Amino acid sequence: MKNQPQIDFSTVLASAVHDMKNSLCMLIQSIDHLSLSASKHSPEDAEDLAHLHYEASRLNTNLLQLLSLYRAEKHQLPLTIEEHYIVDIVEELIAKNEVYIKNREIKVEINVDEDLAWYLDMDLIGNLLNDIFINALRYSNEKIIISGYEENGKLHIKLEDNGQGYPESMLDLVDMPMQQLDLNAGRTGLGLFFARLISSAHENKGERGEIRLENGGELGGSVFKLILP
Amino acid sequence: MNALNRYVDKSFLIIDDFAEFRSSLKNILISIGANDIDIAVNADSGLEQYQQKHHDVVLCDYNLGDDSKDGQQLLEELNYREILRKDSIFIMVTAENSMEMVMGAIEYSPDDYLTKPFTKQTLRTRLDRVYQKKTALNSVLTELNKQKHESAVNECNELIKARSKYTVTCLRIKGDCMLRLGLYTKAKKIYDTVLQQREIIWALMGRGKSWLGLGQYELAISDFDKIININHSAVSAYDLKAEAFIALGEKQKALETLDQACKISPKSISRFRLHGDLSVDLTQFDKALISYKKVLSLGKNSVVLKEEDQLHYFNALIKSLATATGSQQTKLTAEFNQNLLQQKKLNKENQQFLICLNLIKATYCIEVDKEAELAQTVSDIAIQLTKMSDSIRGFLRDQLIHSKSHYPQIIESSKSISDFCVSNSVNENKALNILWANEQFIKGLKAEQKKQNLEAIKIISEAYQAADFNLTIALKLMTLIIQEFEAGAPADKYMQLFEHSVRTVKNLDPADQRFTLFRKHLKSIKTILAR
Repeated sequence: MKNQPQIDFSTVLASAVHDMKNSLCMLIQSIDHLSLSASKHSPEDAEDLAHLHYEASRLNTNLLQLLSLYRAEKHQLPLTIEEHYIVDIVEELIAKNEVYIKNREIKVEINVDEDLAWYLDMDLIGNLLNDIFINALRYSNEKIIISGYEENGKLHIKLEDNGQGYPESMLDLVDMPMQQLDLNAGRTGLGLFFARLISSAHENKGERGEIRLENGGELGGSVFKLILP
Repeated sequence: MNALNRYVDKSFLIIDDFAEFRSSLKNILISIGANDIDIAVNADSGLEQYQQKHHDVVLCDYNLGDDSKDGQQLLEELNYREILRKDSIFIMVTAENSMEMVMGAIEYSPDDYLTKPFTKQTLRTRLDRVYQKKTALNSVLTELNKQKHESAVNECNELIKARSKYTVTCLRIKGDCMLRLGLYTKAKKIYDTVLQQREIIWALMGRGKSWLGLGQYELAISDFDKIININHSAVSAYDLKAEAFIALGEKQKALETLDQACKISPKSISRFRLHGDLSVDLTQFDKALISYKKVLSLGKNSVVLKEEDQLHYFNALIKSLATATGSQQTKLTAEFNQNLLQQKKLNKENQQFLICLNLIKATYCIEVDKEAELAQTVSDIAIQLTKMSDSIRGFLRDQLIHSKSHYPQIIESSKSISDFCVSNSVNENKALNILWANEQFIKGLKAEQKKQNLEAIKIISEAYQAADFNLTIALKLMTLIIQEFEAGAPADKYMQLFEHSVRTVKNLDPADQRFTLFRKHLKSIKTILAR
């Protein structure tokens, strides 16, 4: 096998992922289209489609994370830092998952000041929060609070739900050095890995962003915190 | 007004080369209430349709196929040709793998990006948001549509005073206007304010450009480096960094910078032109040949190619051919003969270009020692020059200068050729004194600040003589001359100097803010000549 050309597996994988995303894109748009007509005729179909939509967006989020991780490894993860209103990001988060939220009758409370703006990469932070939000949607018992505020010159975005909370093993993950994270431990590993990578890529005047996991909070479930300098 | 009604009376334009995406996007638009939806399958048709109807919303895919301009190039063209109305909404739709390229384009960013796949809810929230922003900025955008940058700045100030939600956007627009007006000190101040808070790419870019305009090339380079450090594909930062290096006389570093830019974005003709010219200056002829070939192939079938491009290619080809050996030399010789013949056929009507081709042939004869053929070619050139009826064009002058500088025997061996050169003042390239010119320029700016306009013109024109390739110096000189004319100086006084500076600036990329100033000066000079 010595003379075989070296195949860079991650590059092959990345281009395959890209293809998959294109198909998924068509799939999601078709589901959207179908649910529009289904919502008028058949509530059961609408529910199935909402679920289908949810799973497809999860898949999409995972693929996005994979691609971002690949870029980060190849040092090709450019951040586009611009000023954004936090309320816009939260609204978009909800719009993205509107079908599922309505279908499961989840109440989402938003505590974000209209004027709160911050410098961040909207797409990457949007993806990061979406992954956390999707999990909250799944594990909560019909209630989620999203809050955003400034504290000590840093932006805090907090997602709380009233579910069971994070298992002990996950709470430890956040403090572990990146290299020791065991990605075989299940899908949550990838999501958190991504969240840590993206948050710490946000840097200002020598300080980096971070994430924190807790249990309890106002709703007694899991609490996810994103802190950006 | 609710969101469903909002889009009923708006016109939409979808530009995408994929039929499936077009129809699915169209469905999404219909579902958010749109009625009036046009479709284009490539950049050219998109441009044509927009030009006729000026749609309220354009949704353009970044990747429009190999044979078309990409979405970013379309956006740039719409901008610098002043077709795009500032109140139109332009949204770039990207696939995940093109994000990096898209983000590399800092100039002319679209109003928003949407990454595939997106849901109708996402599209609607994004559209709503941009719509609100455009509505809030309406007073500014109206002035920008009229190209009134001073009034746009005033409108921005009003909004900033009223603590608008879009203050940062106003600062960005203000900075851009200042650059377009050539007010670099003011522009720098605005960018400094933003940068005090945080290192934002567009503000770094703006400050770098301000430094360029102020002749502070090292400081400009340091800002461009910061941008490249944040975003490796910010290709315009590489271009400007190369320009700054050239202004400092550091050609090797400029070439290395352009090497990187050409790798990142291999579609720009003007970049390859410059890359070729620099390679020639550094006697790297093989490299120059590759670049000029690229220019010719990129510009194939388009109007952007100039006679110079073909001539530069031949000049580099001869140099490479002369130093090559064995089969490589045979190959290049065949290429040379074939192309020379072809160009003669294609340009039968272009008298002056045919003379250039003969000058090229003479050069070739010298390099490969074909004396008999050389004598014949030189006498052909002499006859052609005496028959020439029109006044001499730029490319012929350049080719004659090239011969005179590197192959003087062509000129000297014929009295009619050397007479022609004398009567048309074809002179060898002057020796440049770049660093001295830069010092003079700074002195000139100081004189300008003290309102000593005549003194400033004197000093800066000296600087220009010593570095007549320098865009910053040439543009400043034009500005000062226009001011003098407008203050009543007789039209012929600085006209020659003005014409020279035009020659330096004329190849400026229309996407560059300085182009606005250049164009304004050309308009002013027309008015001045007409009075």
